[in-house]
Amino acid sequence: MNLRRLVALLLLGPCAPVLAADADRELAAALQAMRTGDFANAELHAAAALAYAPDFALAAALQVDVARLKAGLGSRLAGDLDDLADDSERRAWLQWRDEARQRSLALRVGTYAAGLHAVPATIDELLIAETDRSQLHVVTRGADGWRVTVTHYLSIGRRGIGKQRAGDRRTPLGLYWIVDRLEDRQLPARYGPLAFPLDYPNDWDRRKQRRGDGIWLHGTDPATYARPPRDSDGCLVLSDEDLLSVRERIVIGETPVIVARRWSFADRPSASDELPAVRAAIDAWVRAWQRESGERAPSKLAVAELFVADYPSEAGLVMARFRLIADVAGVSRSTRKRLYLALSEAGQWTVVADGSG
Amino acid sequence: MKHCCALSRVAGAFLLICAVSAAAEPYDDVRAAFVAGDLDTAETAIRALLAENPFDPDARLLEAEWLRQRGSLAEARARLVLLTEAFPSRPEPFNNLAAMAFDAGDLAAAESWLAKAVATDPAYRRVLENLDALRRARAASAYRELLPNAEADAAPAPLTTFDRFAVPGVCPAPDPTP
Repeated sequence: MNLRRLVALLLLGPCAPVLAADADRELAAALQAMRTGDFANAELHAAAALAYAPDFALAAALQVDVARLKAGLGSRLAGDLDDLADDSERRAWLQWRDEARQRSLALRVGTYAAGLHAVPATIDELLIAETDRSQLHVVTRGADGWRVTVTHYLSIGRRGIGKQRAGDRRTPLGLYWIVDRLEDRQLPARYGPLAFPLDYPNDWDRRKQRRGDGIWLHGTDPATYARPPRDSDGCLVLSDEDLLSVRERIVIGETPVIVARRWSFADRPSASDELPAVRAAIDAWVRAWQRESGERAPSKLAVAELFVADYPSEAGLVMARFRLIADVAGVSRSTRKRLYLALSEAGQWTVVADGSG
Repeated sequence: MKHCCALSRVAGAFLLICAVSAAAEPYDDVRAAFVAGDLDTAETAIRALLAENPFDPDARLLEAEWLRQRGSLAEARARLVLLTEAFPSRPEPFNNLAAMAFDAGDLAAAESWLAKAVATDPAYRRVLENLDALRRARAASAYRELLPNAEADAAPAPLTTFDRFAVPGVCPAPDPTP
């Protein structure tokens, strides 16, 4: 925490929690106030956002815009940029405009995530990134389903989604797992205090000839509270505070990260109709795998810790990940398997790709 | 236009207050008729006022309001423009033209009329309040366009109008009575 933030929080009072969500909430309230022309509340909430996050550039830009509108000038955020000769300044305002638009989208908090057909008991939380909405949802296991407990503002690749090759500055869409945790001292400053590498490219990506690597979930430069909606080299970027709040929820090798343009959420939980048929296809694949093992065929095979979810942006495709426990000559071995199953026109689930890990 | 009903309510409330607080005013019959929504009675009362004094600027303001409420917007606007020419140093007709433009959703024209009203008297409180309300409305309009997916919210406050001049004057030439 820097000195300015400490002073701001002291001024706000000892009860003010040091949560980035507070700055985001204040900014959203300021934008909402502007929709009714309520200058006083817009100024109040923008100032509060800056008190929580002094490097919140959009909040500072909003203050400038309020002052302009009060003086009878046009709104920079709404596109009154004709008198700006400086291209970099124009670009900055356009990025803030995009950020304001994305931040004004409704949050998913409280809704139930669809498309999660099976999640092992070892996982209580997972992450769903919706790139079209610039939102990262923390989805938590509940008694009746998987519910969004918090939504964070998210930045993605400068050139959007659909990563195909190294250096294309696009964010891949897919279902990944966090495989490592890199600490502050291992990282250049621009990644913030922490980084969580994802296992891109997965088997499905390789099948689709998608190249490149190094897709991380990470924080921001120390001088920046939040980055524009499209600003990274392909990584998923949160504010440092949001990343730090998410870190305790991440279990390396276990926490799935769904990266989709949009994901399906509902006000009520829904049971998976597909699971029995998908499970039958998985069991058939396991039996075939056993037959093909030849002499070293295991005497006993079991599927454990089964995870099955819709694959993002691929209609009729699900991904299954599980632990295959095999008894061979009295020794029990466990390996991770991944299957990609497609729904045929005849309504049958078929394994179309597989892998390990 | 959604501003129109709200404006009528505000104008109505204003007129009601005037009617209660200034019982001796010769314009009471018109104001009471506006409050009751009785445009026929308002017309009769305005005719009587103008028959008595065709040069009465307050009666001309009320006449413009009557035309506006009747839906004869072009005529109402023409009457107000004549008043701006007759009283270029008074903010009232400029202000009322701004309110009409605001009701029509033409916020740029409203700002232009209000700027002229302010130019006549930079300290006139109701005009300044209207200018503030107009700028809020322009901001709201810009941000609703900017943030189309945000949750619904209330319409901005309307502008208020004048039904009489603060400083007595005389119209230089009478116009045809309604």
